[in-house]
Amino acid sequence: MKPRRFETHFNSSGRCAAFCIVPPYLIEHLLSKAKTEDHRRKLLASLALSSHVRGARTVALARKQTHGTAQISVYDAHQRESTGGATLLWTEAKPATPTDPDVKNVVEFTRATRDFYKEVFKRNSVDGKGYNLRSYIHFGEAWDNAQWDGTEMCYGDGDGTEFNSFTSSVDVIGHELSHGVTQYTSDLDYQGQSGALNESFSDVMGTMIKQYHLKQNVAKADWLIGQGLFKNGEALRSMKKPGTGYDGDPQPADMTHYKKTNQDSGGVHLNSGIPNRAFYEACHAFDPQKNSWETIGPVWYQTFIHLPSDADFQTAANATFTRAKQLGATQAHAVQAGWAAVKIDVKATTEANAVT
Amino acid sequence: MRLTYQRSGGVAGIGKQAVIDTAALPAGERAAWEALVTQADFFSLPASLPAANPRQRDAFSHSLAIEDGSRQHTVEVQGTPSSVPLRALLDRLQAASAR
Repeated sequence: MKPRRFETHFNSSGRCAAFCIVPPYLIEHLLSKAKTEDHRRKLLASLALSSHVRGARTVALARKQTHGTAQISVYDAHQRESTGGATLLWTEAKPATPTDPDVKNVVEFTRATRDFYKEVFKRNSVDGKGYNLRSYIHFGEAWDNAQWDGTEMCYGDGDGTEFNSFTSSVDVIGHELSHGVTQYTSDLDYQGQSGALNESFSDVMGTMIKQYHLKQNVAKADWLIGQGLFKNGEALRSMKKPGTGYDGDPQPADMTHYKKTNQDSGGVHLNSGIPNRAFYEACHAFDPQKNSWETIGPVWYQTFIHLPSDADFQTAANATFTRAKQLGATQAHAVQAGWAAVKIDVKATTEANAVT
Repeated sequence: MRLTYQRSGGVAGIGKQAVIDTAALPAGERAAWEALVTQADFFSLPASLPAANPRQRDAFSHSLAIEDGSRQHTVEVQGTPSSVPLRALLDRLQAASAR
């Protein structure tokens, strides 16, 4: 007998329009009786959705409505170091003027990041397929951090003595979302040199997002990461002069000062200063009066998203140089000069071995 | 009991550390630290606790060594641990840490 009674709950997208009306055990039972492939597919979609809803009831509605359209939503983690129990504060599905300054920052800067990837690199969100951008603010208690947790962004309020809120810097928000881009592209291993390249890609994209947002050329930009996060102190990092972000900043500025350590996944936030500076120097060598996102930025982006996951600095240097050579002699010279400034000599790879 | 703690990583990449010698503390504080260590079942933990979610980026890394009489144990923790009592111990250590 055909289970016609239940079919009315499925809409044209194959999803259960009434959420939990059909309980999962019943869908599983129906699945075993499904006659056609189409019917089976609709049942499967509904089963996946209802288990999702059971797991995160408070946020499921907004998530479903914004699936795959690069929509932005912001949740309050209520000072817990977990996304469970978070409540929705703001969604693009029903945009209202944000009142919470952290919501305002996250919405503006996540939009700036999404626009940058779309307009400059024709990339539709972190996965290239309209991934929905969920952010959790007030994450953890006096938490001095921001992170990409593999699925979404988490921002702490800072401790209030040394740090301000981690939503206050457009390049830090761009940095976190760019970890998502790396996850869906090169997936650089988060350890040692490949980990430092993973970190550097996030800083390079983060600083370009800031420059694009403020319409600043190479000479005008500050090349700082997290400017304004410290209550007293300039920034977390300087890409132009690694080691000068704040008093005691330990970042090395070239390969001869590369630091071996077991901490921080092998110094991923430490040695990233080396490729960071190579990018700045290459942009500067090309033309300080031009915009990074129109000159060396595309070379870096196109190379990094195709790097092998175990790439080291030399691999990245060679691959950026090879790509720059395909664009022209000026680009090639600039990229070579950028890496030379950090004491890395580029070697052209053959066409066959080039990272494309 | 002596606790030697180091935190690294995070988007800021700023390390923090603390050394706590409970013998030098008032009785109430000493008892509080010892209770946290006991509740976390620290001496039974594996030497390395990988991230609950390996795709986390910019998470903190924690290194904690504890000496208690003849017992000594070191644990490396990536990211936020799933164990609530261990999280409580690490939270207290982070609050007591400085650059």
